[in-house]
Amino acid sequence: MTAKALTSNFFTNFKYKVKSSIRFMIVLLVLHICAAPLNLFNVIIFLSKSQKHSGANYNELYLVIGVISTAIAVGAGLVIALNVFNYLYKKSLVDMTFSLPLTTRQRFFSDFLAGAFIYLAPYLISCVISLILNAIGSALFAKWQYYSMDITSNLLTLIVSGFFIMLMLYVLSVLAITCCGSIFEAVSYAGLVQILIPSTIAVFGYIFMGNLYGIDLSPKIMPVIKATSPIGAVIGLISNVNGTINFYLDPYWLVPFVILTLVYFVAAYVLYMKRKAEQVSKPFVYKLFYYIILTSITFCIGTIFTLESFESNLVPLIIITAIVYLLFEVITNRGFKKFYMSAIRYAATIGAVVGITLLFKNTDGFGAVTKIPSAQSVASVETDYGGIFGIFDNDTMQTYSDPKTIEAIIKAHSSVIQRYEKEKNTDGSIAYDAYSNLSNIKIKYNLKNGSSFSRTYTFNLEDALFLKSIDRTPEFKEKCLQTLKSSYEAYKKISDEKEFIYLNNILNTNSTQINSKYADELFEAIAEDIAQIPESEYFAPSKDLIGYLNIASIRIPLNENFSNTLLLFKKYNIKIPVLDINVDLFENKDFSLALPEDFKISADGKNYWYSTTNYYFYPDGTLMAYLSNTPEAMELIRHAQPSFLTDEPCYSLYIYGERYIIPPKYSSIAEKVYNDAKQ
Amino acid sequence: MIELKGLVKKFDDFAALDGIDLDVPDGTAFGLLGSNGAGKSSLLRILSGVYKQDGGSAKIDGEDIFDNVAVKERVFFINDETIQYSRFTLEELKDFYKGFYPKFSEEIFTRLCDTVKLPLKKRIDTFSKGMKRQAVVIIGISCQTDYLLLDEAFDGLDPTMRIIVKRMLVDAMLDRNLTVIISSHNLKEINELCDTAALLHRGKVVFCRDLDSIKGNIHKIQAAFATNYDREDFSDMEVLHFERSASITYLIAKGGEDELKEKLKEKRPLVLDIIPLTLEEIFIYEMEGLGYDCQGIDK
Repeated sequence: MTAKALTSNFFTNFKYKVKSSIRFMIVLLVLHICAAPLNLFNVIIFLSKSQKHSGANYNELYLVIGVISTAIAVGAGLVIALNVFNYLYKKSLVDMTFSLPLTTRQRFFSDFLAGAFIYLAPYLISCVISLILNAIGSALFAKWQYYSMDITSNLLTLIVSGFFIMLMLYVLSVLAITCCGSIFEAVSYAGLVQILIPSTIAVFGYIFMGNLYGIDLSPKIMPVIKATSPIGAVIGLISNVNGTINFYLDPYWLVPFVILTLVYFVAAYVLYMKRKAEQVSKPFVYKLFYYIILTSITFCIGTIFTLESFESNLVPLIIITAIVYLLFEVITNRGFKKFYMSAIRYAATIGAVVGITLLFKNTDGFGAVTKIPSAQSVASVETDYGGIFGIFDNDTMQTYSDPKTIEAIIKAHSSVIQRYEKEKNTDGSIAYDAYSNLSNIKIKYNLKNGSSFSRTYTFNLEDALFLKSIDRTPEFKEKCLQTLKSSYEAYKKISDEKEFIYLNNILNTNSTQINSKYADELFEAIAEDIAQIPESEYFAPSKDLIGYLNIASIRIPLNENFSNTLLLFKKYNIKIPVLDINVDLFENKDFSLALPEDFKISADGKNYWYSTTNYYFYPDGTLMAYLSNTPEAMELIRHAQPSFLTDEPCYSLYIYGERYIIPPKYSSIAEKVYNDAKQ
Repeated sequence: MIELKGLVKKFDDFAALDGIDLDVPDGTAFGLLGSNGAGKSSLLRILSGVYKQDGGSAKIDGEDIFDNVAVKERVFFINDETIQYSRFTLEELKDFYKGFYPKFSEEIFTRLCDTVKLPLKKRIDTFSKGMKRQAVVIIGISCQTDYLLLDEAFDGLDPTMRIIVKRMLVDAMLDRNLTVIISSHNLKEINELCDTAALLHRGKVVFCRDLDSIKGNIHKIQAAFATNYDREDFSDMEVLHFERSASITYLIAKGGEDELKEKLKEKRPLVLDIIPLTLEEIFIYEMEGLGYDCQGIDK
């Protein structure tokens, strides 16, 4: 037997499979053309019309058709795999197929490649058509965009990612079919495996691990979901939409995705080579595959069910999982044959799921919850901490590598964990309730050994005081700058307004708009001021509040310490609005004064030291006094500070429900005003 | 030449073939006999490379069969179903197999199709059962392989078609020394076509001889004796079946006619008639000897 004859049989098989699917390929081609090419054509028509008259609109029906036809064409990968490898689950085809002069390896590769060709060739043809239309569009129109989406870059992203997503869907279907021996199992499990891979990872990462205090795997889980399954990859692609429609191809996604596709392919090949012709008609050739699927289903149901409370949901959990599990067993075993074995297997599975859940819960995820690194082992820490007054809260992560800063973060972390352990032992629910209404701070430790881990906590004042030294670091200046820029850019995308930097007086009764062309210069000035303000003035300003600078959702209280910012205002002739306190404000009881309390801080009128929510705090009403329009009251309003850190008890002033601190040096005035008001 | 040595095939714990030793010389028309589940189809599937044996060896001209393209190109297997060809037309089926079997003869194919007048352009699922069988046999013969394996291949053929198909096979055997292995419950077919046969039972070979020697080695005896002898009285003979009705004793015994006559002479039969058995009768009595009979149903 010559090599020529061997390849000849290989291609004969390949050609036969492709030839018998020509009509199916034509249908797929039509479906693919209804997607990107049709929509590109629509954009060309729209742009041509809009050049002639301004009232032209996109016909969005094409987009709907495109989405539906793409979903069908991509889903066809499962059907093609089932068709090409039909002899793996149809007994009548076994003799005809296996007696052909082909080796097992030849048969696998020729069938696999034939299926891949049937599936991907129409897609690639449509991609070529899309690229031609894209070239025409780019040549014809200066602004080659769909709404504000850049077409060329997004098209290339979709072509490349679409190819690999389809390839993985096909490979995964082949793998599932190889494990099955009957048509029902082949069809249902080839579909089920596509859904279960991302579902199980999501349930594990977001729900199972999410139940552990402080552990937030979401930054790690999403890349895993994206890299392990076609559905996950599609979700990842869509979740990268920035503002409008934009598809982002992350090269760090593509590499593991392709490697995993290869792993699935090798698994399918090895299992195919090992399976025997006579195993066709068995529901599962590899029962392990079935048990993995069934355990995943049980795990997902179990975890979702015990999300709220493990103990109270245990009985419904057992009932529902038993019904699902035993239903699968009855279908797979084609009846109640050896049903006691199914019951034993179910007991073992649910026992394992419950056992692992309890073990994780009771050991705090094998110590992961209480794990605190030593300062010596940490190379750097990334955190979204937005300052002790919470002014620069947003998702921007800043890296800190100074040992003192690392130590401060570890101390804050230890403080949280100590309280957690204390409260966990008294009443499990307190640990969580104690942090309600406070926003989260993410901490990511990059260890010297190259590994990393992240935690997310809601800190209280006690914990946060450990972090205040961060505010004075050069890295924090960078954090301020980046936060201002990113908030501003994000707001620009979603806002209809043209300008959104405002300068307000302290009561927000009057404002000045600042032209966005000064934005970059302004952000630099603010960041510079934050870094330059002396420590004592930063935490307990002696200078009166002169107004607020509102940039997107960030509100910065300004005083004379912001010298660079004020110079910029002067340079561009930007006036701070005048404070205009009229009598009505007093009559409406908008100003109230509370007794000194044993608090330490006030942060921009919010109850707790740190919050991004507009949570207004009102102390006991009987202890509050409403201010009258007196010179002393006016003086208190002028000296009131929204961001102030002190150990001394002092009065607090409530203006429109927001809390301001009266610095201790004005306590005697505050006392007089309070007593007068109470009389 | 097909050589099977200690061939074992197991399905889970059940041994479908349990140490088969068989040699099939080239150019032989070999019949495979056996009860249902005896292992005939499993044997043919091993010979065609569908199954891989779990023990022993299965070789054609000294080469292993499984996963051996060179050997598989010389073997064509026709199983007892035709549903797998349903979506093809006969012409498509020809094109399909032509790609795999390098010696495929268009000339033979056309001649045979003309003979039986099968439509080339109609889908096979529109054919009658007999036409489907004819189509597959025509393809099998046209592939011009050295070995043609037929599992219940004559099912559904009318008597005329049986003769035509048999003639096709015989012609192929004569023309190019084709080796045919036929598994069938229709012993008449095997009797007419085969020169050698093997009887399988529970995965083992009961016997494997040329048909003449099989037929000459087992006889039906009708005799009347002065004394009423019991079965034990014939212990010097290998008796497969014993029955006595009034004064007549019926025996099915192994051995040549002369040998049996010699042994019975001592018992002075009043009447003695020794008749050779048909293959069907041999099958039934051999199987009865192995405890595979219909007595349980009679009771």
